[in-house]
Amino acid sequence: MKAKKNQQETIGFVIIIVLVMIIGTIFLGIWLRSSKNSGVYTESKEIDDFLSASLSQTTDCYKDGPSDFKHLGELIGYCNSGTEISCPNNEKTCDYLNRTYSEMLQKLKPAGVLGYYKLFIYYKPYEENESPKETEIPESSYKSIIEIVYGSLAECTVRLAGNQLLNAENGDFIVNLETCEAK
Amino acid sequence: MKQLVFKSSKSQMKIQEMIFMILGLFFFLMLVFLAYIAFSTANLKDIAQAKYRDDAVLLAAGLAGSPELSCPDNIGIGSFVCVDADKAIVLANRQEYSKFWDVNSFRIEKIYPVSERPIICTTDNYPNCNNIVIVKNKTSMKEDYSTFVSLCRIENSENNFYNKCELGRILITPKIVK
Repeated sequence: MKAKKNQQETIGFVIIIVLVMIIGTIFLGIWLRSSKNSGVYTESKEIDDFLSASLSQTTDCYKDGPSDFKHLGELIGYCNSGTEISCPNNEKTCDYLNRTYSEMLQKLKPAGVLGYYKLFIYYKPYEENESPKETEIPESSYKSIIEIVYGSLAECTVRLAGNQLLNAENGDFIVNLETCEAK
Repeated sequence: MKQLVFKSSKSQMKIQEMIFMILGLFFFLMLVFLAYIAFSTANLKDIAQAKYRDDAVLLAAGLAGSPELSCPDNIGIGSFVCVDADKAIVLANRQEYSKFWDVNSFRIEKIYPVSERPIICTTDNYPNCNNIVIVKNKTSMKEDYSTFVSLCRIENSENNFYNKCELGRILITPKIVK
């Protein structure tokens, strides 16, 4: 009678150990998956290169004559100040900038097949009496110039981001691109 | 005698329990160890691939920055990798340079504005083309690595010369692929 009771205890013990192993494996699996998709953007050199090369692209917009075509990066300054220059089909500077980047991101897919991307161009002023590198000012003082968003973060796997900084008067233009590969 | 048998079976049961516990613990630790090994080796492979890719991209950027291909200093804005397309077309498809570049394949592609189909550049059709092939090794079947660059050239508009930069991509296949 006692031996049977002991056998039952042993079986119970084995069942507990097996259950703990199964639950442990499930938690380990969940942890490994979540650590791969943690929602944190990784800095990507490819995106940095894409942004810097694209900003240096010569546009069809000119200011002082047909040989004075402006770079895409220069259009950011004109768009920010509201200065209109001559673009094809009388397109406004900001519209040209917006359309060109939308087209590029749609067609070139700089970081693989993207499920989501957000291009955010903004102006960040320097704080008074401080050099640019020491500047730490609230995000509320940033002035948004262009924002292009496509897709949904729900469709995300690997998140990559990059940015470029262009010097401007009393501040910087910051071009920031966040991307996420489609599932 | 009866008491001895009873005691012996009780001890056996205790030993069995202990063996089961040790076995269970052993299997659990083995499982954790195997999971750790699988995780760390998977990471190791990712790290090795990422490092190889970064090296290849750096090599591509290095080739673009070589005096044979780089743009004059006054072109463009900010810090960026710039390839002088006018120099590149002179070096295209020259077998005598294939050892100089030390890569299996090396080409420069204009990617924006987007073209409908790939057109290999020659001195006859340049600049109305989008692929400048610098080195093409026939044995090279491995994946290309690429980096975005600015592809600039001198353009003439109503007798005014200016630098026209387009978005390009350098694609290389390094010699040693691990």
